[in-house]
Amino acid sequence: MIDAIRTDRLVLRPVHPDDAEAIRAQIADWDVMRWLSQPPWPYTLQDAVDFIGSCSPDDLTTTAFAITHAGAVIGVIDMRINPALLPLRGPGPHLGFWLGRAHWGNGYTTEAARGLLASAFAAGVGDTVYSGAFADNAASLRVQEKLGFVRNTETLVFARPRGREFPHVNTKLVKSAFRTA
Amino acid sequence: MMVACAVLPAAARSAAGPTNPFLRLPMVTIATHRLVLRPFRRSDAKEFTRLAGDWSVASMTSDIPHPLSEGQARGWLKPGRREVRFAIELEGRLIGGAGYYQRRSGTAELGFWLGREWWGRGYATEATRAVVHYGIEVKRLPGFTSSHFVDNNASAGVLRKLGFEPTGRGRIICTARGYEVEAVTYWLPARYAVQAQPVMARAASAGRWRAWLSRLAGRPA
Repeated sequence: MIDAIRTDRLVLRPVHPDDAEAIRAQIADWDVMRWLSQPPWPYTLQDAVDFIGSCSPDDLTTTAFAITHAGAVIGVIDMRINPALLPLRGPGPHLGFWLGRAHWGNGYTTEAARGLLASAFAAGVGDTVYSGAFADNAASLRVQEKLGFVRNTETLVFARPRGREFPHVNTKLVKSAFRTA
Repeated sequence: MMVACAVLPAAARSAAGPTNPFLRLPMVTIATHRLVLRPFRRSDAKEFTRLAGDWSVASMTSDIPHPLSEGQARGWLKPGRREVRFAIELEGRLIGGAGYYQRRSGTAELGFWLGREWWGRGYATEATRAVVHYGIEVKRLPGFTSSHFVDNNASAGVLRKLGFEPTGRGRIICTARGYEVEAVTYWLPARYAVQAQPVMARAASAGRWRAWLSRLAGRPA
């Protein structure tokens, strides 16, 4: 079991079955969903239950974290290894995140990602973490840039909510380039 | 489940159109819903030999010899100058290939094959749909052609699902069989490929299609 990660304003803790409705309420929003590759659309409570069920809280690279602010879930961040996507993204954990629309523009994503990355590097996940975003997702790419990620490759990636492949920028962060502030 | 990759004379200049500013880096992999398409590697030779060494696979392609040696397989895995060849991977395992040969005129001949144990689950449709999308949206190809031998219903099903329309018949050499085999030929103009996409995709592509039409008609877009 892994501990919660605390940052200045946020607490990241492994997702729990009780988070299903809070997650559904935030992610079942086209303005969030249209930037994501994996979730189904339309998104039901059962999809949130299944997502939480796919996480195992033993390891940083197998679970997903609820991003909580003042006790409320405002988004999800994870750093899981998806073996099926290794040829695309490289042999390491892959950082992924989303934030409910009501919470955009406050720097929460950068803060959460920075907290998770610091814990992950300290825990010895390796020297490289991969991430990425659909090519038109400037907000996400800007978050990654602030953390020290650089563009690595570009691919077409299937966006499940949108039902086809779209250009996707893959990024990577080496430990020595990680910007902690 | 595969289509003949017609072997056509190599030609010169790349006909790829203007590039999208987002796509400056080489795009050599595609993640579809269930599959990953990536370049072939030398280490694929063994599994490729096993999968494509199957008569039921090789006899439906134009250019896979039978029997297939690992040396021949290594040669086959290297794409020619105007070829794009993706390995189709499912959960880390090689299951087939898909790609195209681009003609001087710009249109491309689509080809694909799957190992026999992977037939019947929609993988060929999923992989070729992504390859066609890549060719049209990223490489700005004006359209695709393809073909299958007359005794290959599975590939006919794939091409129709993608929106390809039959254009006629021809005889294409089948290396495995050692003689020319009657084939059905197809085409898919970019417009139809766009229409075969879900609704969300259409708006972005309509302008490009109009531009291509105008070029065809000799008018500025």
